[in-house]
Amino acid sequence: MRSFLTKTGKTSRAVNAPHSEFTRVHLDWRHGAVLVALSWFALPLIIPRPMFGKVEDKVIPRQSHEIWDVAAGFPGGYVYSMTQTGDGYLWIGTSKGLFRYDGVGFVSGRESESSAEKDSPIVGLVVDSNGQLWATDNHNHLFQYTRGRLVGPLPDSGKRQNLAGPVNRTSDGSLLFASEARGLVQYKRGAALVLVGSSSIPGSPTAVAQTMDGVFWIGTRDAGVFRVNVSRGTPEIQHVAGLPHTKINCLLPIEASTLLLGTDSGLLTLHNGRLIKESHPKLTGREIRALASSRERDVWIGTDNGVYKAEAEDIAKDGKIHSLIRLAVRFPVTSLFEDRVGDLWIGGPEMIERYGASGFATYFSSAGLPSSNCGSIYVDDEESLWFAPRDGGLFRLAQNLVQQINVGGLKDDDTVYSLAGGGHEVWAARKDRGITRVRLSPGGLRVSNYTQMDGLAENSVLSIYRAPDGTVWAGTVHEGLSRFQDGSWHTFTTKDGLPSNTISVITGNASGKIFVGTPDGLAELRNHRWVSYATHDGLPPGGIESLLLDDSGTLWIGTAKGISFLQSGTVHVPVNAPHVLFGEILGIAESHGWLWITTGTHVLRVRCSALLNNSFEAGDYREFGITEGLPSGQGVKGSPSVRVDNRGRVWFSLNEGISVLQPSAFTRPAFPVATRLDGILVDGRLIEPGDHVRVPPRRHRFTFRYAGVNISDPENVRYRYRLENVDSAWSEPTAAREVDYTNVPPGQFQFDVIASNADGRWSGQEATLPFKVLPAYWQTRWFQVVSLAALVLGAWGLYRFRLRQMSARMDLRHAERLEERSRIARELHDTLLQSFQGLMLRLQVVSDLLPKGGAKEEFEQTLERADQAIAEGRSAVYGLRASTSLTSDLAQAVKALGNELAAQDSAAFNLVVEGATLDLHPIIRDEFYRITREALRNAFTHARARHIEAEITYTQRLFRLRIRDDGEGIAPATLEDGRAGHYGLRGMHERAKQIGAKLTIWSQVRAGTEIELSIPGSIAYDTRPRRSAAAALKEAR
Amino acid sequence: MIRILSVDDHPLLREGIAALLGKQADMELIAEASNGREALEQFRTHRPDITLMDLQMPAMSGIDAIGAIRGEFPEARVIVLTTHAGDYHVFRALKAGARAYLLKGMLRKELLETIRAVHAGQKRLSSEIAAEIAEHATDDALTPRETDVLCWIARGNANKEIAAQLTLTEETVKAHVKNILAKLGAHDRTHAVTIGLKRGIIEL
Repeated sequence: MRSFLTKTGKTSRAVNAPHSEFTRVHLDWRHGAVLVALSWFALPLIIPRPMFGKVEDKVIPRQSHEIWDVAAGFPGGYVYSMTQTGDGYLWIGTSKGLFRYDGVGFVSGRESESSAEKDSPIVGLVVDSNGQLWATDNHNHLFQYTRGRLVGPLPDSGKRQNLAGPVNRTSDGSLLFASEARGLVQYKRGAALVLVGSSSIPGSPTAVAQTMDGVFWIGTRDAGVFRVNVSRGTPEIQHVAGLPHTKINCLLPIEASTLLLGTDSGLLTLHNGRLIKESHPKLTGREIRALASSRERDVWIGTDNGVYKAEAEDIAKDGKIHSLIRLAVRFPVTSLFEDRVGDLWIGGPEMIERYGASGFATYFSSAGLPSSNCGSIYVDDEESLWFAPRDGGLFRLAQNLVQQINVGGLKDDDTVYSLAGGGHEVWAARKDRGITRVRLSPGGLRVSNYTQMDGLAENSVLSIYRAPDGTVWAGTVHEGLSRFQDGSWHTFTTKDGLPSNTISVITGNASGKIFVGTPDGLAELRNHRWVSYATHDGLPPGGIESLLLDDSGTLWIGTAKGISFLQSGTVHVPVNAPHVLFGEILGIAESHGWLWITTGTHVLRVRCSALLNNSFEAGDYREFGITEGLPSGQGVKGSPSVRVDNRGRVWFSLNEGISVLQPSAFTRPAFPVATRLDGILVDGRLIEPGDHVRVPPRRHRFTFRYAGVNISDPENVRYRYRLENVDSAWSEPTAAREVDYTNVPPGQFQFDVIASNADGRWSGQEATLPFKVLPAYWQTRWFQVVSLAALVLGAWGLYRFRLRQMSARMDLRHAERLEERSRIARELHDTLLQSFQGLMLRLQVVSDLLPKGGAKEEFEQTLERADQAIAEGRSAVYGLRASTSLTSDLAQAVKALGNELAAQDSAAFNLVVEGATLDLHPIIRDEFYRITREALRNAFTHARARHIEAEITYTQRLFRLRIRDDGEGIAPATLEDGRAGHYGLRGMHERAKQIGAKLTIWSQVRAGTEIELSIPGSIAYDTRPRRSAAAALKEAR
Repeated sequence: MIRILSVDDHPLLREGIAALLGKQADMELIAEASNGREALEQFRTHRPDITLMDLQMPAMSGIDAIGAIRGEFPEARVIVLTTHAGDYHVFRALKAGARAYLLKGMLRKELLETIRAVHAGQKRLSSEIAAEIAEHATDDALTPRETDVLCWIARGNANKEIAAQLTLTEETVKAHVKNILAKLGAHDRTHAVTIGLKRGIIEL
């Protein structure tokens, strides 16, 4: 997406001929007086021109820039126009349609329209004072941009006539068109005001503009420029005569009544209606295709052969341009636009370039500087840059040319440790060679050397400082500090109170304050005495590397272990500062209330007040690097390596180059970054943002896509986000433009994201995306309720099924038992009893044979007994049958039994029957009867009860029988182990268990006993098929 | 000499009867049979004076055998020996032509006397059985259709099935069932079946 960065001077060195300015310098030098005075002995020396070093190739400072061509993602087309809307987007009108750039990529600006419309060329783009974007197409139709579509043509929608023509913005923010069909039209708040009727408009208008004096200008394709004055009621249209070139491409008002005309063959200037020919000779014959002015009133000139910059100070009041800087742009320029931060956007055929005019301009070591470490720097009163590379030599950079200073014995391998200057002098502190003074004079450079022989403490000088009053201070490597004042030298050492005789850095101010930094601390000269500050005064440990005395009198101290400052005699360390400020501070400069600081690893800017207050907030601190146009983020040693020149520009000596920053750069707060939410990628499918975003159920991965709109500095945009109802706080800042969430449960959520710009402020508008994750059917409440109900029903059904199964099994068991019993009964009846009866007959025969007497009587009695036995047997067998068929009423049986037992006992018995009598299964009935009989016998026999009550309850669900007495109760131990055999408790339990009944016995000693026997209705009641019952009865005869 | 045919499917009982009769000077056991069909054959062969007939036998039941014998030999004198006391059994046995009805438990004391009495032309019922018959004497007898219905009930059929079997409407069957319950004094259908079996109204 991102194009390759071409910030590090990839183009070859400039080989153009030196331009006139440089020529002028040469002339100046040539005219200077030539004084030849050779002196290693501190005699002033005037160097004639031939001795002034070798002229190097031209070195062009580079801004950061970035190019997008089709390969780098630019959609292509011929770029006609560009503009920026308040939300930060760059809009690009091309021959292939309207595109929008957000710092990340280019998308169609007409995304909501059909592809045919998307592709139609867009020629003009203007943002009005309300922030509304307007566009004109190649048929001069005017459109208004709304939510991904161009609405129009306006104002007579449908009438496709040439309404708009060239479009521009007037000083009051309204739109201005020059249309052959409609005349000169001002479009303001939705209303078109015709300033000049179409009949008066010259043919083929190509450009329109209004100068600050209210005059309108119309440029034409072949008839030059017309001046339109409407201030006096009736419009006056005046053709500007005498233009050497009449094909006007573009117009740019620059002063109240100055207009630049870009023609097909050069740049012309009109000042107060008067033609100033040849704005600049360099542009003569050039096709001028685009003009733009910057906030700094600089003018950008786009030609068929690149871009030129005319700085405001080089433009005369009448529009004459004195000096031009050519940017390293190598393609024919079709459009120019300066964005709100001051970067220049350059449009061409099939490509677009951002030129980081707002950032650092850098002289790269790789593109012309003699060293990758240029050491100490100084900017002289002629705005030339002096630098002293660590690997030797002294150089001067003027008018983009590097010259080596090789006068005064300075050679390639001569090391200059420190540079200072002022009052048209440059002082160089040299290794082993003392001090060299270079005076800048109209005739050339006058050089003087000072050594030990002149009174300097030592020939190796580490640091030098020239006070505004002309006093020069030289710090030596081992022998203390020498002062050069009024032509004589004086040396201070540790004896005078200096903390060390090695002086690393010296600074001072116009009011006479002097501070020196040494490896062992700081010293200040007060009343001819040195007052020192060391670690025990609060100074960070390690030597002092850099010092800066600002206008308020605060001394900023850069040490090997961080920044500190001296105020009112006290050293303060801003302990809350970012940790990089606790490294080796190599250079410090102050500009507009900010400290520019270089360390071995960073270039950064810190707000002075934050350091002073030891309180840091977002925006108080920012790092800079390659993105902003620096050669690297690494400072270098040098006394000093960062400094502010007389124009307020900040110079940085860095590893790999020297950078300079315009005074106004980075002084405005960074624009808030608008955040855009592109949608949610749900398991790979994009859901676009909207008012009612609904996510289908059971989705796993949610990827939120968002982007901050920052066309100038997209790399430094940071985001924080949160998913409301999931995240409790904002996320940590991240550069990622999407975030994944997994397993988002059903519910209502809102995703919020906010972006910060390079100064770290979360100042942008928050983007929010409310959405609803629909529940899967099994996550809905109704489903859960239904499921629960189904579960309950299922459980109930299962219970019922189990019960039925059990009762079926019971029934089967009961039926089997019944069959078995019937079989036994039949056997007994059919064989045994009948056999007995047969035998009885034969015994009767025997009896008849016996003689009358005892034996016979005895025998007869025996037979009688046998008859009884057979009768009992029969009745027992009958009982087996009867239980299954004949005695259907358990209550009757219990009652009879109870009454019978009661008759022989003192206890009273009564029976209660509840519910309508239902047919019990014969087996159940029998077993109940038997258990009841056992229980009743226990009660009567053992309980010594007064009342015994039986209660029989019939319900559909349950059959229950209770026997209560008010007797002595059963001992717990007996209850528990059943005391085998006692009271037949075990038998009762076994019987109950066998038929599937539940037997519960409550008893307490002296509180009576209650026995409850219960059985589910489904088992208890006789629901067997009739045939089965009948079959059981079949044998019962 | 009273010539006797003993019909019972139970050999030991037949032996007992044989032993008892063998000691009687005025009686002679001339043949035995173990089921109704044999009984008819023996009767034809021997023309006994008295036939002792069990009711429950394989091949041909006692009642049928009585009917068959009486059909051929209207003068045949048959004494029913059974374990059943149901009035319908008695009633049917008597209707079939039995002259006496003895419960097997009473044989030792009453068989000889009954044989002699029947041989002498009398009809004999024990007092127990007489009481049983008397109990139901005033009851309305079930109609043949009601008996059919009761039979089907006993076989475990519901009204609907009975209606289908007997080509009646379900309502008609219901009405029959209601009458059956009323006539037998039964609480419900099962009870009715029980009573029906006990009294010998139906057999399975």
